Amino acid sequence: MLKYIIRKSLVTIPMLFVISIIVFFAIQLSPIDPISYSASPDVAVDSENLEALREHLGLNDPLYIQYYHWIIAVFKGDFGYSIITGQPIAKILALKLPATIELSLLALVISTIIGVAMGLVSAIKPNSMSDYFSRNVAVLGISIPEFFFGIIIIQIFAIQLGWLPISGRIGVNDVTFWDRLPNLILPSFTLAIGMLAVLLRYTRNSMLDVLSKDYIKTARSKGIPEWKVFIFHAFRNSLGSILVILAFRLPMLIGGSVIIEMVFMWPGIGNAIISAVSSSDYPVIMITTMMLASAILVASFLVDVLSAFLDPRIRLE
Amino acid sequence: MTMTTSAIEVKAKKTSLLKIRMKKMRSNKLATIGLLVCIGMTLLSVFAPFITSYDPAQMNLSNITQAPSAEHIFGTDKLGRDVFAQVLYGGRVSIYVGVLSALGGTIIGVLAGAIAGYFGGKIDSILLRFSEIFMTFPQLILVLVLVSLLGQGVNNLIIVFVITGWMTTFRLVRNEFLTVREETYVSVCRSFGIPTSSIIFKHMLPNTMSPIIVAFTVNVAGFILAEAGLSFLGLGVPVTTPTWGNIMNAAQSIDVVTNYWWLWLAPGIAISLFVLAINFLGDGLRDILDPKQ
Repeated sequence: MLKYIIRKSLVTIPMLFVISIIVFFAIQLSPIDPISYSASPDVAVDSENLEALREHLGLNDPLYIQYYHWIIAVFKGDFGYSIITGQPIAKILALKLPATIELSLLALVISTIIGVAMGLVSAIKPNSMSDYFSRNVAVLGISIPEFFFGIIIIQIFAIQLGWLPISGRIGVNDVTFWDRLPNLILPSFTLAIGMLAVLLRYTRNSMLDVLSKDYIKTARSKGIPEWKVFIFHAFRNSLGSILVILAFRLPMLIGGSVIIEMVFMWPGIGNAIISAVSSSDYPVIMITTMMLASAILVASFLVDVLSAFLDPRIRLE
Repeated sequence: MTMTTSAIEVKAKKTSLLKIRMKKMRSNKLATIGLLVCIGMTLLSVFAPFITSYDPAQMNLSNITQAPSAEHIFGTDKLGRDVFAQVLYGGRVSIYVGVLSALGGTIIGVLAGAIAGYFGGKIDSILLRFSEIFMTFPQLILVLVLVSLLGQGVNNLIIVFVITGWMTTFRLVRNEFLTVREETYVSVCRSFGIPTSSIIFKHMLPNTMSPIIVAFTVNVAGFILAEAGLSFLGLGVPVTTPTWGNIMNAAQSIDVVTNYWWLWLAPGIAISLFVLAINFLGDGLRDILDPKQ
């Protein structure tokens, strides 16, 4: 197992470096003077200061030495400054990331419960009416643009019925998580809809796969009630592969929440990315992109390790 | 003489396979409906000038935010433009972007996949790593970054979509080629001295066509959604060109969502209907083209 983990890290760590190199050189391609985001804005006012700082920061050095300094700084948590607001990027991340993680986690929970349940119902009787129904609902879920779906449920549940707030994350009097929960429901549900299809298909296929195995026949021939066979024999064994897809979904969700954050005016990382893109705030774009790419890479590493842990055949391959 | 008879036989077999597939297609109701809806909506946008007399860019400030009526069946927007005409003309750009991007992504994916799968070894692992790097960036964010570097515009958007959307087809074709490579007919071709490019494109590629076609339809749907999303955010096609996403851009304001439902409902339904039709068509094609079914 340890050998497998080491082997996988030998692939993952160089990939992380390649990503950081791509991101670094993309910043160089952009028409922005790097001094403007390396120095805090109050220092940058004086041009003489700036020239000294340029020398001091090594911006006259060759690119590979600059990259070396930059990557060391990133490891130490110094991400530079936004060229638009002058805020340290680390602070922007600390402020916005929790909102996005909160939204994505709840969407993950909602889509898992609904998606797995629908997949199980589909697998009980493949090609039946209920199977047909849930599969078509899933296709509908991936066909409707998420922002359109968001607008529709805002219209119904927030404007017409007035049950839930239209947008935002924290109201004036909201103190605890439970106060904020109503704000979370609509955006997380919208985010969950797009994921349903994948989870449903995955659950259904892996259940059908397990149900055709010999040990299921054995269980049935022993006279175990069908529902017990279904839950304790089949579902337990297909759980592994479902868990794996779940672990892989979380960083995807963070990337996928960009549009939904705009529809619901959710103050998360997607919102920060959009405003950075609209104002050409390259340092913020690059750091957030790198964070998300690294998160996906780390998640896929964990997925590999997790599936190897659950299935010895993979690690011995 | 023998050559001609075998050629005729092959031809007869081909038409019968086509006939079987046509029959399967007709019996698959959802796929047929999907195909008809796709064709119908495409024709409506192409022949837009014959269907509506309104110019989608024609502003009429004395006639703004009119609710749907006999005169303007989808109403008018905040500048008095006819929404029905906008949806019709907007379909042109949306469908164009979706189909062309998917085509570009498929061509690159097929070429790279065929090379990686046929030759294997070093070139395969290099291309594979390359695709993995692309896949670690969330697609929408990669698109956003590239658009901000290249600038907005229909053609730039297509270029960005092609750059960020070839990986699934690549992996698919690569895996197919890895298995097809081991078939006897490929080694027979090789021992006959048939040029490698001919083996790849004339002999192996036709055998991997089915999953490529299915992936193509899925990609068209995905790119139409991506274009709509970006344009909705105001970061895709410039607002002066109507697309389904651009028309919905107005719905970013809560005032429009609350009071002017016709501004977002019609284009939203147009996108959903078209993408749904393509997805049903793709699902149907998967069943029809798969010989194992």
